[in-house]
Amino acid sequence: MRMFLAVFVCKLLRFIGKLVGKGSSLPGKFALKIYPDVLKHVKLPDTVIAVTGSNGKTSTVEMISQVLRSAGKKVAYNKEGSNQIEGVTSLILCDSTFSGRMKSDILLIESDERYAKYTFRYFKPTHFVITNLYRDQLTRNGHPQWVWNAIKESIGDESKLILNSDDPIVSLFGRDHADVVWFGMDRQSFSTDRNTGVYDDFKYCPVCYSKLEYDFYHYNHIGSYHCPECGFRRNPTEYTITDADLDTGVITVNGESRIKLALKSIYNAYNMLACFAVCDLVGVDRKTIAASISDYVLTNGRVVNYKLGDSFGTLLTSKHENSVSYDQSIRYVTDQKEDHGVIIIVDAVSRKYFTSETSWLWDINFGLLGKENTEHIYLCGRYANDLAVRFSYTDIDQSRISVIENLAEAVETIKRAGHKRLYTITCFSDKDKFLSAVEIIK
Amino acid sequence: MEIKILHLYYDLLNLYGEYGNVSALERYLENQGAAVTVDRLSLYDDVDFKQYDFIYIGSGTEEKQLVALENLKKTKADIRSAYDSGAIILATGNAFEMFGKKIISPDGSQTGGLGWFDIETSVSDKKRTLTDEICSAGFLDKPCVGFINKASEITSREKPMFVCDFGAGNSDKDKNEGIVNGSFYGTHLTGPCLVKNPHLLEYFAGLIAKKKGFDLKPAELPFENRAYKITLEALKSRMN
Repeated sequence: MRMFLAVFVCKLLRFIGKLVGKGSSLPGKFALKIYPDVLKHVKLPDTVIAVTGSNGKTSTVEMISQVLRSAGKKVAYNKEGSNQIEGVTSLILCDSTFSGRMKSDILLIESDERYAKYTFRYFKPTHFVITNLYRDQLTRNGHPQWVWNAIKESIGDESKLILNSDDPIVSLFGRDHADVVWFGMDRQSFSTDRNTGVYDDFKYCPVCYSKLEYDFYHYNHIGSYHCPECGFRRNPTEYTITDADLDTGVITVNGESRIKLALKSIYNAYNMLACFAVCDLVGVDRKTIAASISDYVLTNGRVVNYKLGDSFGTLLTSKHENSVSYDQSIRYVTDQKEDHGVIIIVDAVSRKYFTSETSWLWDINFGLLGKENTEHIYLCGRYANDLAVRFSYTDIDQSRISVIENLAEAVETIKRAGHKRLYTITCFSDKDKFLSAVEIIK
Repeated sequence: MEIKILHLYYDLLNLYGEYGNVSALERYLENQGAAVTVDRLSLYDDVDFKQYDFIYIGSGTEEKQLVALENLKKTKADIRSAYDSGAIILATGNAFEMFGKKIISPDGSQTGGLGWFDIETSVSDKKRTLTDEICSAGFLDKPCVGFINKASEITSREKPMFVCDFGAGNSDKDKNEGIVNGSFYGTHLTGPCLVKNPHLLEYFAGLIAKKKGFDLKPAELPFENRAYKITLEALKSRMN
């Protein structure tokens, strides 16, 4: 009876929520009030895939869903990104019969890293993908090791772990786990001998604190590492990007499956690889995977094109408090050949909570923006001065930097400057403030 | 005028942005006409503590703090004699906990500290204190702003560096924050706290200048001061 009520309330609230455009975590919250351990009693499908990590969760989950659907499977997944226990409960109950049996063939969950232990208290995924762990939202997460401990609590022996072998901290999850599948990327033309970031969280072996040695880095602390003292090392991979050409966007997995990336970035290549691995493991044939995902354009597209006066612009949604995400956007801008202006906006640090913490600006490699073809840099928003201080510690010519706190004023100034090409780097919390002042190109 | 700065465990105790403190101090003193040398040293380096006027140590994860502490104990007599000879030490985040009597880990195990000060630290693996902060010090005419990111509760019988106006003190029961003893300053303000608080930067530059026997000239820090003012206003609006 409680099951019936929980499912009924969940579906009803979800229906009303959709009408009024509300998020998907509230129905789950109410269902959990009615039946706190409901997740223990729902009959789940035989395959339950979970994806967690700092970056790339949403994209990876969307791609997995695309492949599985193309392969004829019925998939339930948390499309709207409500990735804590309430959102997952909504997802599960809204897909269930009133007797509490899920109707889809596969349950696919994007899980928040820190809250995975609550979500997976009553059931364990059959396949658990962990993409990467970086410095991310430290005002909430503390630090990556703290998040690691939280994820560790959520892992059960019965799950098959699908782990990024190139990330030392992620690989630690596999050390005392029986069933692990590793994925990673071979050395590529863009790989570097040195860490190119502002900081290096794995200068020392996380097991014995000797100096960790890297054969190469792909970006941040992602690469091929080994400890000469204790033997901790990157594990051999079952799923490997053997070749990645970021100019054409073609990646080759295990020397045979060629996939074309719509978004040509190393980060997306990893998401694609994780997707490939898990889909292969649940039995989708490799040709179907490659065909269904090639050139697939993510609906959660974080790139928005706009016009401002005579300027053509591109907004790259980045995550505040996440230096890897910012470095990713900066790398994209510095790869561009034509002259351009750059706009960086930090007006609200988060859209979900308040903080004035700006220490994370010091972890971002802003100095890369000093290239000749970056005509001017506009630092905007409430925290424009914090940005200005950070930029004053780069080698960038300070006469090429303007600091404008007020966004409307900034937009007017940029419009008058008449750059042919513009790139805007900002977060979910601030992007609409900017986009409402320009003309979005669909 | 030559000034020597040591950033110790720069690549181990570097939760986020701590290196900004050293960069800011270096630039500030250079603009005063001093010749500043910064040595960035860590676990496997030989450290000659006595040559430094200023020693900075930043915040780390709970695990890395203990690794640093074990390492620091090997040269504890040397850092102590540098301190006794007047070196100024600033330890931010959990770095200052290493100078207390002991650190108690979540599993109950205890690690002895350097024992310089009468403080004890208990570390949790469940509860983390994450908060914006406003705090005041008797030696400053304006409050400081910042962020605290720690898993520890500190019992202190030392003079505090700050009194907390908004945010967290040494423990749930204590609004005092950090410690000061002679030329040793410890605070749990995380990240580049000298960048965010130009008056605090000026204070430490002043201590160094005094030690070296010169006077500070007034310095212009327009973006730093404006950023500080905006953050202070934003945080004050959260107090009510």
